[in-house]
Amino acid sequence: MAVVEQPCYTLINFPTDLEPCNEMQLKLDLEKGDTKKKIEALKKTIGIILSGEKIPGLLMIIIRFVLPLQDHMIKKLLLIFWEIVPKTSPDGKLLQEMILVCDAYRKDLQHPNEFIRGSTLRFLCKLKEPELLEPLMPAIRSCLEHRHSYVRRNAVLAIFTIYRNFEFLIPDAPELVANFLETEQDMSCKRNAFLMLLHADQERALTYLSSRLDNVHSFGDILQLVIVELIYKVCHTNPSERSRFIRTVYGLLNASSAAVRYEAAGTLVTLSNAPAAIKAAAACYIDLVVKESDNNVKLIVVGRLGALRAEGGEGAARALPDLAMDVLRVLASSDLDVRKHTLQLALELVSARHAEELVQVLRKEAARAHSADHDDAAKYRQLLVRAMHKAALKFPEVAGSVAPALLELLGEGSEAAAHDVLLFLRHALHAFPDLRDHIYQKLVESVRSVRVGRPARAALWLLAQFADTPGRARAALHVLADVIEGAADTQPESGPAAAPRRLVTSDGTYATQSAFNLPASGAAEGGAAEGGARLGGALLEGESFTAVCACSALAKLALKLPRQEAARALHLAAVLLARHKQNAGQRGGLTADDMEHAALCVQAGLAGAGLGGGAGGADVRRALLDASDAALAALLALPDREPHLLEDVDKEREPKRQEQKVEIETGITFSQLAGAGASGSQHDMFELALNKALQGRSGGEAIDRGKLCRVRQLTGCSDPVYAEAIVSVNQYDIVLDVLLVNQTDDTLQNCCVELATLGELRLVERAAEVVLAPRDFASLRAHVKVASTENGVIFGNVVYEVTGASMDRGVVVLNDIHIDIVDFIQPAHCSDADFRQMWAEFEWENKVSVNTNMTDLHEYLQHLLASTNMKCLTPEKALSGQCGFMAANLYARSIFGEDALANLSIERPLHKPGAPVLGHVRIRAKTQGMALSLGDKINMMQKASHQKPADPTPAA
Amino acid sequence: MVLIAATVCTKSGKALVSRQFVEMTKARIEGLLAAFPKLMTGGRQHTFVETESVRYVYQPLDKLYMLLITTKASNILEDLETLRLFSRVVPEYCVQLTETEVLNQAFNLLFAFDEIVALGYRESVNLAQVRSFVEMDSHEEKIYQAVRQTQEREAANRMRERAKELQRERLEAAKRGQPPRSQMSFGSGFGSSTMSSSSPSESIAEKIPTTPARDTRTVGRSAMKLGSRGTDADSFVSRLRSEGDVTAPVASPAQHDAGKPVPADHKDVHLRFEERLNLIAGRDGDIQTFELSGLLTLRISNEQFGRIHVHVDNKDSRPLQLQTHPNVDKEAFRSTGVIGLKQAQRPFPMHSDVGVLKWRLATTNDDKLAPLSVNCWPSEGVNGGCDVNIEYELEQDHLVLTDVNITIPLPSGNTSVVVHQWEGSYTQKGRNLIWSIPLVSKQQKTGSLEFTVTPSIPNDFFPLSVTWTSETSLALLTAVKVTQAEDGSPVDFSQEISFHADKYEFV
Repeated sequence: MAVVEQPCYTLINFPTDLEPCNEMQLKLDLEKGDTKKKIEALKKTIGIILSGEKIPGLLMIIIRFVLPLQDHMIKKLLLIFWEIVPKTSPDGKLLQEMILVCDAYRKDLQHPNEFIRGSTLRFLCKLKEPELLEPLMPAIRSCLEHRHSYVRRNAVLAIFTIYRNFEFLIPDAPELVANFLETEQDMSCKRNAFLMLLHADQERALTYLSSRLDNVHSFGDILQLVIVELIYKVCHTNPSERSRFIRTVYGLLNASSAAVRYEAAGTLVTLSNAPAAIKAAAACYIDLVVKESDNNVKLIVVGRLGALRAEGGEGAARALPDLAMDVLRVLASSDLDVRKHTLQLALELVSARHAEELVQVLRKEAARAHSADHDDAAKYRQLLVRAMHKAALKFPEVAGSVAPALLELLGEGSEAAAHDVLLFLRHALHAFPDLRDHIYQKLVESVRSVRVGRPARAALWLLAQFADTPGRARAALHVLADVIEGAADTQPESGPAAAPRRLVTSDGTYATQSAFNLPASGAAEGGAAEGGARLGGALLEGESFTAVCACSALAKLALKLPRQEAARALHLAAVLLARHKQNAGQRGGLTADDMEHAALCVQAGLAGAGLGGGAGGADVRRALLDASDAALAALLALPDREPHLLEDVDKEREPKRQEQKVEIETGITFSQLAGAGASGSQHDMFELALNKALQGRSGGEAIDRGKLCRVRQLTGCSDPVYAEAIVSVNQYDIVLDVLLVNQTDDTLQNCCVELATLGELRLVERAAEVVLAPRDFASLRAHVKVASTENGVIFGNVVYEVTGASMDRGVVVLNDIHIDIVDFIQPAHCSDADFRQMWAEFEWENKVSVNTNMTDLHEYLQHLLASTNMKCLTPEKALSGQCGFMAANLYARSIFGEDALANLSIERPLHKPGAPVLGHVRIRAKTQGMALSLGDKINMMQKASHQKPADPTPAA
Repeated sequence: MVLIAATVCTKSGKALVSRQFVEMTKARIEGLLAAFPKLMTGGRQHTFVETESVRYVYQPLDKLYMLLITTKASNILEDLETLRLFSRVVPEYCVQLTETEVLNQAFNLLFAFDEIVALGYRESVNLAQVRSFVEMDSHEEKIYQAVRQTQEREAANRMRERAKELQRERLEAAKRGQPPRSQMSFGSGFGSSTMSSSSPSESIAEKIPTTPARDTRTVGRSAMKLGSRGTDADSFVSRLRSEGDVTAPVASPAQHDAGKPVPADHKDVHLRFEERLNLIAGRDGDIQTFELSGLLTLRISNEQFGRIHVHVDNKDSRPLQLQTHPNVDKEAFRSTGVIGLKQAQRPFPMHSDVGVLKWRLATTNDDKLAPLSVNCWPSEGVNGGCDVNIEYELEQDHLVLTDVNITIPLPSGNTSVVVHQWEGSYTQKGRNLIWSIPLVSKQQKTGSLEFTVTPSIPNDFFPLSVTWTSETSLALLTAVKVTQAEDGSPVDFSQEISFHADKYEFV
């Protein structure tokens, strides 16, 4: 771990197929060529160094023949060259040659061309060698007084970084810069100087700021931004200062630059939790969202508002609801994502006082969206419906006004929104008995126009289920009779409908999924709808399943009606069935299942209503009427039955609940012993965000925890070189910390670890060669980059030379390191609908047979979840109980954003107690690699579990 | 508020050029860049992606993306501002936005990126400033070089004189039979025979400048300070601008003159009226700067017409400032409009363009002077686009403008341009729409163009610039006749008038 990595400022992806550079030719060009040739050669050299090769021979040539040139292009290229060229010898000493270069730097710092001075100063910010910087200090200082602001502002930055890295070189930097700041006029220079003070000496920065507190408004925007940052930092470390600056920050809420307003609003809420402050900040945010035309800004600022609400505590709770209506102004934007987040936010913010108003606005929006003929309009309407649904759940008092609004949207039911409307109706009919009459009546009115199968079925079910009073039942029967008889009279002809596809719904019943054949049948029925009533079209010409649903609805109605009308209902059902039977030649007709179900319904209706023979009327009644009531209540009681506007909202909140568990290897921090600034948790958000961005996963606690269990032995204990590695996966790279131990009594020269990869892995950095003294050890580090979620293998060997030995090279082959795909997979959540859609879309399926000796279905599922890092989407309730089989949907997403779906269907043979679980897991993914790797993983997991339980407990 | 890296990458996500502004490891940046294409999902109307640790903000540029990686606490408004500047810088250096072109210009892009962001914080610069920073064209350096050259020359001269003096002394001493006084100091290496050549002066001249040169630098600096002493950013910018404008006209006539063969239709006496117009007008047609400068040059290619008078008629009623060459008889010109040399017996120089008369017309606020008015009227339409109506009108009836090109800037990024109605022809070149009208004259005074650009805002279409060529002049100055100076007999002459716009912009 002693290896310090070079920072990387430049990446140029030169095409690799260029002709290999001839070092001799390069040397010749650099030495003898004219300026143009030298420029080209220098560019090539930079390219070579950037690609990771080292050409030490060129350094001196460049110093001798290129450095003295005055050409601007060469000067600039040289700065990049110096930035990337290794300036130290392998043992960490500064190269001799660099002293020569140092003089060139000094000359450039005194160059008459202000741009050369400036860019040289900027380059010095990146220089990490105090030996080189020391002789330059006087020149750098003098650049502070240069006439051109370009030079001055870069000089300030140079002083800043030098002070930060090597304080001893310029101990008086804060004072110097503070004095500079006093007299400086240029905005950029002032900003940089202030930035320096902000990081180096907050006291001085504060003094400066407080003397000019009243003039802050007249400063330039970039300076204002830094001032806001300073205020944030100061108040973060020293809360008592808060009151001094609130006024300033508040003033900046009206700054002319939008960026400053945004920043000021963010800082204001950290300064104060008072409702007034939160309100001011939120108002500022809303103003930004409404005024800025950019969708990015809208989304992020809406996100900030959401965070404000979540974290603002009591103040936010008091201040924000008033602003909910303002938030809705954002809906005017055309982007679906923005609208989605806005609706979510508005629903969270709104209080009972404004609920009515909110619903009014949403209704208006829905009406507007109805007329709009946009791609997203349908989706938007669906969103609005869900939003209104949620509002009605949250504030039951508005349900009354929501219901009619939604029924307007039911339309002919060909839209995505229609289904959501019916979901709402189901909920409303169930939950608000006092509204039932009204809603039911409306439903009866609008059900005629429903044409598409799926909503039609849902509507029929609702009609039958909630026909509590004879009046309602009669109305429903009337409508159905109208529809069926009316449609049966006319003889509309229509093309053959698409063959329905049989699928298993999430709750285990067979259903014809309308998502697949919706467009086709919709088109086919289009013609039919003109003739008869629309619902009639769906019943008579549409899929047979719809007709069967109608039968079962009619049977239910029959049970609820007096004898005579019951007979009529059953008669209607029979007519319907007959019609379908009659049509059996033209189209698929009734499938056996549908036929059976329909016949059962009619018979049950007969029995229940006491019309025909047969007994058990009470049982039928219970089965048909009460059981569905109970099932509905249970379904609605499930926690995740609320409509989702945003899938990821819940997911994001989850990790916040931190486990209060301390792992074995965690160090204990004593706050008394920790340095003032060192206490990790007190970093402000800017630094935190920066650290996170630079290092990947925050803090690395996850890595530390697992460190010891991730050690892998690479060679045998009796090999001449023992090697082991800690493999840590850090988001997109894998870091191998390799420990090499020389087990022999010889000095091993040029000992190096040669690694190669298989799969979508790429070696970024090779480990350096080391010399190992007898019985010595060394640790190396190698980086491997991961390009996609696939299993990969890293293999290689240790090569060493022994001085004076007969054999020239020794090679020890390393044990393969398998990179586990699970490291890249994170459990994720997605809605049922999304899951189905992806399941239908994804091209790659990998079917893995279950081959295990586990005997418990649940145990197997848990084991699968644990070993693949997937999340089970099927609710716990649906999985509970013992019935001998189990079906579950699993979902995960890789860190590269790839989706992985899995469906588990397993059973336990009932007649053989103690027999292992049977069945299969089907994995679907967009890419082959993902599906294959995940399958491999499951196979491996099964193998592993085979052995483990086999030893201690022979299958009972 | 910290910008981590700026990258140009292809649509498939391959990073072509990337510049990091904070210290980070190569593995990390490569990892971040490799993750980007997978995180990006199509069909969204926003252009940022957030991950656990960073935020990517990007903008499509034809087949490329301009990508910024920022921290999550970063100020999105600020980042977008920066991104806009970045994505204007890229086309500035790359003619086509393709992978190869970006790689060809990789270094220029890196230099330009450096100017925009310092240590992760945005610098307050605009495109023109970035350009001039990268060019590194320093006035001070030029002065320094000039001073240095003069000094070298002077030193060489001094050295030569000194050498001569020494030699003379030595000769005199030899005459007098005394040993030369300074012979010893020259040493034996040179020998007396090589003394007269220039070699000693050269060898010394190389050494000399080092010390004086350093002194002169401060002189140069203070000299500059007198000229413009503001250190404010604004004055800096305006100075850059004024320098840019001063240098351009100086350079361009030099190019015109040099190496151009005399066309066949030129008579022995050839007059050339050249007018250049510099105009900046506001969108509403209010003129902010108006500067017309003209030059009458005379080229005589036959010795017998060396001494001639050119009769110039000035019909212009506007306050035209006329200025003759110092050698021209000013009095005669003022009274009778005759251009002739002050010393009547001397001929005009032969075979070269001699500038004899300059005129200048500069006003502000006089709206009637503009030769061509352009009315550009963008109005915001539905779905984020703009409908733009442009109309031009010739304001000065005596002018005939040919090859009029009106260049309308278009917003960067993915825009769709639909031209509904036009006169003349139009082409779209890069981020400009160029509307060309072959001829604008009294008969065809006006024309219009209508188009729609989505997405855009009205400000995108300015500054609008116009160029043309013309053989009529704006100032009503004409040469009536040319006569011999002695006897007044008429001389056959040809004349050529050219009138074009150096800068004709509506901002």
